[in-house]
Amino acid sequence: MTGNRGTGPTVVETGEPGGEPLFVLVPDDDERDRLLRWCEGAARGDDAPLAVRLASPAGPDGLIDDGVVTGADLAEALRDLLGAVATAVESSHPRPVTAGAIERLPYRCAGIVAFWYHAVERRDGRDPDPERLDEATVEALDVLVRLAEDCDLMLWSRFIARPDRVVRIRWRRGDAEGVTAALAAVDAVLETDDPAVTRLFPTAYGDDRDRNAGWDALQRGELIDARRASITIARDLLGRRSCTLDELAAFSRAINDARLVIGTRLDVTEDPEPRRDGRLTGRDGKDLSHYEWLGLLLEEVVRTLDRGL
Amino acid sequence: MTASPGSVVASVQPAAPIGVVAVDDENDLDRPWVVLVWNDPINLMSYVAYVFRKLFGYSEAKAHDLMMQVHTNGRAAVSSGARDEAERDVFRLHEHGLWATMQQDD
Repeated sequence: MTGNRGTGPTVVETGEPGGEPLFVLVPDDDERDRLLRWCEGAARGDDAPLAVRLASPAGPDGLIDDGVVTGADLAEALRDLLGAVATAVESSHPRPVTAGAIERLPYRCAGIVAFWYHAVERRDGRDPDPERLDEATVEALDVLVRLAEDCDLMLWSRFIARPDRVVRIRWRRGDAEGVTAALAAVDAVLETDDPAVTRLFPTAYGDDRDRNAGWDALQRGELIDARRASITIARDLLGRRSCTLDELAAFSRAINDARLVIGTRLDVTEDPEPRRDGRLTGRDGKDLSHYEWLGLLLEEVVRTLDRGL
Repeated sequence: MTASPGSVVASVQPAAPIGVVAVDDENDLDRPWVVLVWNDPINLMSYVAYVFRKLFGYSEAKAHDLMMQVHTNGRAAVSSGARDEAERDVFRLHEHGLWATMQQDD
């Protein structure tokens, strides 16, 4: 995770919120010239080891183990993708791509990155040294990885932030039950002294009892109201197919609250292994599954929210 | 494991000497307040970094560094300022489920 890289071409979704998704590759002016040169060079074979690999009729030497994909397939995929990326970065306008093309892009991007590393390793007898890569290659590989991530997000995420900041929601089977149960777990204890709410209302002044008491008297009511509002929004989202980024942020807080309540009850620690040693049965086992499912859901929400910042 | 927030705060709050008029620290405006976020085993690292970006407008890199400080050192100072500013930050962090405290800088 670095913050100083450019954005590169990205994939965005521009269809109507209620209609079929429409994906668009958006070039980034700052990087497109350099990326284009790298793509052209790779396609022409300026990069000798890459050209050797492209010309080789043999498989990629263990790169793909399942035997389904051949070296020729990878070479073809690389040519296709370089063409698609080159077209995208050449154009100063967003370029619509089909859902089918989006489905193939992550595999192709990942394949090219793996392919390139493999070629360098073969040439040098060791893994590529990240310190010695030229800037154009670093950027190009970075862009390819991010394209793959973008496509992956578009294809699989329940929450896609569109350029107009509307979030398309694609609920899956079981989501309503899992989310409803999570919200109910918070709702049930929010205004009680249940130890499970400890993490929802931390002290603000360490062990200064007087100040903590004052803080609690002043702020707890407001925090309860804020949490109730988030729960209400989250419940409402379950019946919808689009929302705003603010509503999705409220959803993330409600889900995080549920993890705090359920996790506190389960006595979750940094190391989850002891909780998986078979001692968890019945309700605790079910709660742990629920807790971890909520973690995956929240990761997905955060990925979308992060892109909206 | 998670560090206790209490121990640090205690060490910076010396008792007023007997016989001396205690300075009302409510009015001690010179020393800024620091907002600390503490490590806990539940909050997701990605969520914590996102909250730092959202609440404080930090870059992706700075938010990530602060999140890693919380994760590896047990805590990180995420903002500082006047008492009312620090209280507002602590409230917003609590609203997002993060474990935040505030203390006056030495």
